[in-house]
Amino acid sequence: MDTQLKKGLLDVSVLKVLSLEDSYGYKIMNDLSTYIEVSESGLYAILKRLEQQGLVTTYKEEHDNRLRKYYRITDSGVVKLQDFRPEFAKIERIIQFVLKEGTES
Amino acid sequence: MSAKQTFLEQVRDNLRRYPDGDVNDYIEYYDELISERIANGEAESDVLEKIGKPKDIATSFKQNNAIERAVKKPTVSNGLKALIAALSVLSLPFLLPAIGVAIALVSVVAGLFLCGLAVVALGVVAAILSTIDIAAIVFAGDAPVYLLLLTGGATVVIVALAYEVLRGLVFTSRWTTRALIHTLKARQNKKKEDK
Repeated sequence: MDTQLKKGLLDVSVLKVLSLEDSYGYKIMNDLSTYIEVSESGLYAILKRLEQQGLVTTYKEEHDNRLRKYYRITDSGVVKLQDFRPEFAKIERIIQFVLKEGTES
Repeated sequence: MSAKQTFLEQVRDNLRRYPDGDVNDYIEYYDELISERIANGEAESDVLEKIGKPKDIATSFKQNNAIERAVKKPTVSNGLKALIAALSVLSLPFLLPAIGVAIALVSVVAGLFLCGLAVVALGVVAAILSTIDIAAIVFAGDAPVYLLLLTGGATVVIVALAYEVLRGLVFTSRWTTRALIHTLKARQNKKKEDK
């Protein structure tokens, strides 16, 4: 997949996952893996960037005697996610046009 | 020490020159990922095998770190650091052209700087000398005062121009660095995809 496109899609996908519920590294990775491939170090970079941009915050919680780092989407994260909708509608129209059955000479 | 701890210490050993806080964050992240996978039924040895070599995990950190810094502060030096970090993992086919590009970039930027500096320095010196010269003539009573004002004004204009040229040069170097970082990022993402 085109790298710039994938990078944008990954950011939004992570925000989407977090808009459903707070989550942690392993689970985010698993939830994403159905739709889009990401490496461990790649996800780390994305989460860190989203945190620096103030789109997510983190907190730690104990689970089975281990500390899990949870990520939570912020208000500006939610806004960011909504801002993508019209963008994707545009992209969707282009994709439908490209995929449309017809004669390709 | 458990195998996981040994593994994570090896990652840490490769990141000794980086800020403790950032490295700890990264190690904790991997620690958590590995623990979760084990808790979900994978064998520790399998997880450590699949997740990558400690050296490669450290290299990913270095790459992200260098690119992040160069994006925040696009100086030529940060750009080159990002390039070096990228070179340490990229394959030979990319290595040679990249070194070529780096050398070309540095030469162009350095060349521009030197040319700019030379022109600016010459201009400033000439302007100052001519002002002094004409001042001498004016004070000797041989020339009108407006000549002095004229060359004095010219000196000010040349110095201001020189300042703008220097700023332009700095801007150009930042711009080339940004372009370099852009290419590196695209390469890095592509490399990840190929895996």
